[in-house]
Amino acid sequence: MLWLCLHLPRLPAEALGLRDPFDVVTEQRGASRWLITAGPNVAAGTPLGTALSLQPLLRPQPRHARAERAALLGLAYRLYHYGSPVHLEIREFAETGRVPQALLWVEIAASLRLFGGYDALRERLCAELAETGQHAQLSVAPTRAAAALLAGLGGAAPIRGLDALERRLAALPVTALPWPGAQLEALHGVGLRRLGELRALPRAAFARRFGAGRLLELDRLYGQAAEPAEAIVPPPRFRRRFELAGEIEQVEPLLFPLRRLAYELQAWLRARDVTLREVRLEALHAQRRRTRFTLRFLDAHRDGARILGGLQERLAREPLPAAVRALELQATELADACVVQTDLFARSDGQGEWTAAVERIAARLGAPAVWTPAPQADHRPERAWRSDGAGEAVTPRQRPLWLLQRPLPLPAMPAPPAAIERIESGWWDGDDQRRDYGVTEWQGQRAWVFRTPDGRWFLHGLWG
Amino acid sequence: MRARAPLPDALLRDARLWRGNGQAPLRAEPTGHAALDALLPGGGWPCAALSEIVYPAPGAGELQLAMPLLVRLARAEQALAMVAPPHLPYAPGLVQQGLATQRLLVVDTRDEADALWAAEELLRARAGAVLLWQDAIAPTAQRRLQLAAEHGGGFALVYRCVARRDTASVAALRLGIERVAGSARVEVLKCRGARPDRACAIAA
Repeated sequence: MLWLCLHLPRLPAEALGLRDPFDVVTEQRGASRWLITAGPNVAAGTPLGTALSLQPLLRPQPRHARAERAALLGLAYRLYHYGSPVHLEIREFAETGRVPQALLWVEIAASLRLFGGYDALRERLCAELAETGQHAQLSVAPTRAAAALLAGLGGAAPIRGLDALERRLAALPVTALPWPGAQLEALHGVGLRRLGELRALPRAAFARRFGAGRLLELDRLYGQAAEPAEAIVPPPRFRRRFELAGEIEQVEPLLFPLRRLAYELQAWLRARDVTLREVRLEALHAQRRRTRFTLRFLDAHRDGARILGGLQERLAREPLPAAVRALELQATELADACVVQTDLFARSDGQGEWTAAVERIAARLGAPAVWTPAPQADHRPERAWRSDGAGEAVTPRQRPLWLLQRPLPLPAMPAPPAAIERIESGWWDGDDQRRDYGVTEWQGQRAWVFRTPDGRWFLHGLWG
Repeated sequence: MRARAPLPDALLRDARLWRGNGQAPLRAEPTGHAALDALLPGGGWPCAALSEIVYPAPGAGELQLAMPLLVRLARAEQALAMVAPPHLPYAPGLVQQGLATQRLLVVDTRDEADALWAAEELLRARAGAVLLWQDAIAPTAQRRLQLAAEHGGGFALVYRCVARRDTASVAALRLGIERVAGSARVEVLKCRGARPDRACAIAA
């Protein structure tokens, strides 16, 4: 086993969409509040009062544990295509002043070759994290506990074997262990500073003194005991909620969380090996009101940038009715994955671009504004066309290129047409028509005109 | 007197060299109207460029001017678009002209900015031809369309329904069409690489 561990020191802030370094998140227990993300020149774990005296410009925000868990889950799904199993944990500590640790593990031994070695994988992962602006400290070790320990210390060169791991761990300070403060103090009290010294203690005496549980944890750290944990599997449905730090009224600040949701959806689609046809975005307002935006794609795909582009255009089209507190993205219709067939000749390479452009336009102008004309088998001119592109037979009689939305009454009788075509139809569906059509010249235009039985003339079409 | 050396071929083939009434070679697609092709440098619509058609009112034969090009592009499975047309593009009539309408996309827009944006997006997405109806189109907008057409390699046709034909335009080709005594008459108002101010009649 080779575990890649991500330690996410800024997750509490990122989960709330806070990007400014002066925005810090605080944890509260009783009367004491302390920072759980670092600010400029203030370390995480500093009491809030101290932090504000050092850096008065800080904007502290209370922690939102549910949002953190959701963000971590979203990230876990994104890591799913690097390897499996994927595990996650948010380590909480009972004492005041300690910083919870958000951790993610992926087993990468099996997929290293696929990605072309650890360096290539790391580069790709970092680029993906940078896309959504996520900070992470990476480390690789043969055990999960050791990988988490090393990632928490800031990351280091990957450790592949158990021997190398033992050597590396021996030099680490005991205080790096995720154990309760009282226990760490007790270890310090008996003069144990390094993990190597701790490991050298007789096992029976160690278990008696610090508990069998701690001994087991130490064994797991060194790879001498199994590390059971529940693996994360992407759920069959995608529904992700993003809690915003405050109420947001403009569209621009929503783009950042939207971006993260879109890329999480992309990762989820990849992990489940499905493609997306329709997606729904809900903006949640105060008093449980919500605004829905549905976006349908012309062909199923799993491209995060395309999802994001469509949602952006959609949001830009309709102003938000009220301030937004949270966003929820849901995949409402999925399709099976299809392997993209590439043409041997370069002719069809623009197809994807074209589809994406049409979708962007439909998202901004509304779906009915973008259509494909097709003939429909009906004698009545108004009904002889349809807007879905599915063509039917066409009459052999001459038809104009432009049809006026509504026939225009002519003030005077036009030059008499050479041939008259009588269209009399529709008595069965309430749209009865009886008209005599003909082609004539009208004010320098080649016009399609008709006469009603009562002798009035109308302009109905033009040869553009 | 010493005989003048002929100009090098490479220089003659350069479209930027203007040679009075000599026609510089230009990448162009035939319009499908033989009389008009004969007047145009390159013998047709300039490829990957902006062309402008000035017409007095819908029904002057302005769409039929472009129809042979559209039919040919649709047959080559290229995507076509009409952005902000003045009336409903009538499918039976289009099919009768030989156009495969399933290749045609119509975009109805609320304002001119939207229409311009949509036309530009479609041109950049490698549309075969984009027809845009916009009477008051600014020179900057024309240049943007020109760049989009160059990028996507398609034909950008702008239809302007204006009385005055002498307004400035950056289009590579500018045609005026009107109906005189029952037939359409096309006038070359401006063209890159040859002398304009010539006219012919087309069947429309």
